[in-house]
Amino acid sequence: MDIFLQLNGLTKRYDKHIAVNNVSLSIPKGQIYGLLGPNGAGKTSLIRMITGITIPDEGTILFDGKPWDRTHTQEMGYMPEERGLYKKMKVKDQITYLLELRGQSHAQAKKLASEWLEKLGLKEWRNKKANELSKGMQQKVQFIATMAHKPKLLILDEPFSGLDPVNTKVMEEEIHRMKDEGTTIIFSTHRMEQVEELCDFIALINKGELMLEDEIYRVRKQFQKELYHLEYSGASTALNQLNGVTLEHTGNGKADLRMQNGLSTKELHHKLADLPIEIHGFNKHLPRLNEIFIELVSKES
Amino acid sequence: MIYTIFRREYLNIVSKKSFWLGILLIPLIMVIIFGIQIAAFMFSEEESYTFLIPGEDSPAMFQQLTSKNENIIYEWVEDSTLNELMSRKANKIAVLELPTQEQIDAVNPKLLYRFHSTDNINLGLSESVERNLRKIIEDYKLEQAGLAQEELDELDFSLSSRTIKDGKESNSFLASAAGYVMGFLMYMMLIIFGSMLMQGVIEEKTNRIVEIIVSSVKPFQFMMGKILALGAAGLTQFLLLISISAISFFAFSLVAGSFMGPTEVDLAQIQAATEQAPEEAKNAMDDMLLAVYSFKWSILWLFPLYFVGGFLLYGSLMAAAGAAVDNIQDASQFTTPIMMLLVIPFTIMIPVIQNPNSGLAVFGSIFPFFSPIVMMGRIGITEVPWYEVILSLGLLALTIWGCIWFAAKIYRVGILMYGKKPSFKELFKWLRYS
Repeated sequence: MDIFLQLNGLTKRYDKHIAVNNVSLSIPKGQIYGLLGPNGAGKTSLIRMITGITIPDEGTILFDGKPWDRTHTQEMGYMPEERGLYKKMKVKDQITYLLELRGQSHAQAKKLASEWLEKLGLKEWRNKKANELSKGMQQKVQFIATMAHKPKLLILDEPFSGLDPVNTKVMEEEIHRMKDEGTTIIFSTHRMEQVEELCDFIALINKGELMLEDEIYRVRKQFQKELYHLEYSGASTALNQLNGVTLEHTGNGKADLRMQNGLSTKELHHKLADLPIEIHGFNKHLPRLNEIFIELVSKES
Repeated sequence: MIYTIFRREYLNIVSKKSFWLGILLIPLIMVIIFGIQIAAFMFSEEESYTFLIPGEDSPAMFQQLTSKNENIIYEWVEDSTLNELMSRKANKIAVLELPTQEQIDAVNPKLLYRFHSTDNINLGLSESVERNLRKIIEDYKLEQAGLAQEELDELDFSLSSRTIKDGKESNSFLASAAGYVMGFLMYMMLIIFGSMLMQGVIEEKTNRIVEIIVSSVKPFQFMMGKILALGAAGLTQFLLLISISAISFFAFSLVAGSFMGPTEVDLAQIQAATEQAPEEAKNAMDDMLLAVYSFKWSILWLFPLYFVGGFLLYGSLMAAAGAAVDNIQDASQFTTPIMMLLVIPFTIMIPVIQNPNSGLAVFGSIFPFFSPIVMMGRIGITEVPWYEVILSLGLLALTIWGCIWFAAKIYRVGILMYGKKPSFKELFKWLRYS
């Protein structure tokens, strides 16, 4: 797989505080790459170095195989977590201005602004001032200003925060469409459940350090445990007859079964079939990213 | 890139109501403040000044000329003509050219007297001299008429003065006024546009649009685009103010002229007439033409130059102050010292105008943080040697370079810092960030 963005040993210090500590990432071309970690983990500091807002104290960045330079910012789109618009400026002028700063000509920027405002259903709002728009609409405007110039690299920091489900869906569709067109997308969030369905790759960052980087299904496989979720009806005491299993009742008609010493799934199946209960559901537990993260963090400390 | 930023910022400012309101309000505020200053100016302490009166050429009544003002000394020089005395004029010594006996004896005359001097006569002094002359002429006229209160109106006369400095007619009042007005305009515009710049920076920071922008352009480019745009908006306002003043001046002249003369008045004709026979031009029209004449035109091109310089200097500092804080309230910690630097040259304007070649005036017009304001005052009233102007502009350019370097470092770090208000110590730490 082609690597679009290669970070080598990036470090950023502020006074005595190390925001990013020797982080190396390989971000594959045309994939959605999730940058995960709690608030204050160093995600934004990392992104600021990629976007050229700050300069790394140590380390290098390769953009599409070439050493990073400022001209690359024209091929990027960046939607920061803390984002805003000029309150008193017309929506269309605003998008035009931001696209011009990304190197588009005035005419081209204007054209793109009109096109996208129409596509995302904001046509009637184009001559309104930003502060007349709802928060969701403003977010769409920011999104247009981030991606209308077809960047090769799109960086979205908490793109869905404060967005209603309908608009979230619209934006998700656009992100997928851009991925299909070959755009590399970095998606930064602290809400890990959001990335599971969207991302192809993830990196987990905590306290400025990289903890894990891999394809998402491999991460989940790697951390999967011999744990099964069972849904049944019948007497819960019946379950106590099971051998080789640690049992945990998790609710009315629900239980978690953790296998001990090499009991296979098939054997467990047979054992369960012999019990005087009716089984409604039996599935292997796939760990949520959240759990993986907590596990990693607690292991470290 | 910088042009895109410049265009947005410039259009943003000139489309604001406050920009156009400023064009109306600035002259108004100036008239008010200037009025107060004139009052203070007229009553300020003076060095003593001697007025020589040529005995041959002056009516005998002026032998009794005295003044309660101890700084005014009248010296009646017996058996001397005006021409003889002219060689004795020097600093603090002027020759008085008074109206003739026939002129005073006329009915309702428009009398004119002249100061022949090498320096500008302070406004307070010339006012006193005029009062003294008026008293003498009044007493004489009353005596001649045998005193009849009812007839007083008939004895009315007008009296006005001219200062002839080094043979050139000038109006010391106007000269000090022009320099003072321009210095004050500079002061106001630096403060107004500096504050607008700072507010813009804070707004972008609180709006959080700044992070989007500096991911496309360098913070330095963004800051410079903004400073240049605000400076250009300031120049625009200056040009508009000057154009409006010029138009209203000529409009007023025309209106005044048509009231004065029985025939239709042509500006050029009057000007020509005034030059040929200044004695006969004794009306308001004449005063205004004189005003134009003694106005130092160099101020009109030096003002924009010093405004651009001053704005690059103070604007960059204001941008840095705005970037360091999250809201206007917190900004005062950093703007106070900047404002102090602006207030000092403004407060020394009066002594500078009274004595435009003093050490204070020369220092003030060369020291980069003061020169944009103080130089205006000096240029207005005296001929500043060209090498002083060059030195002053050169030092200004060097200081601008330093200030922009400093501001760019603060700005770059500050716009991405939220939360706690930084101290000066932290600000200096930012200078070392890569």
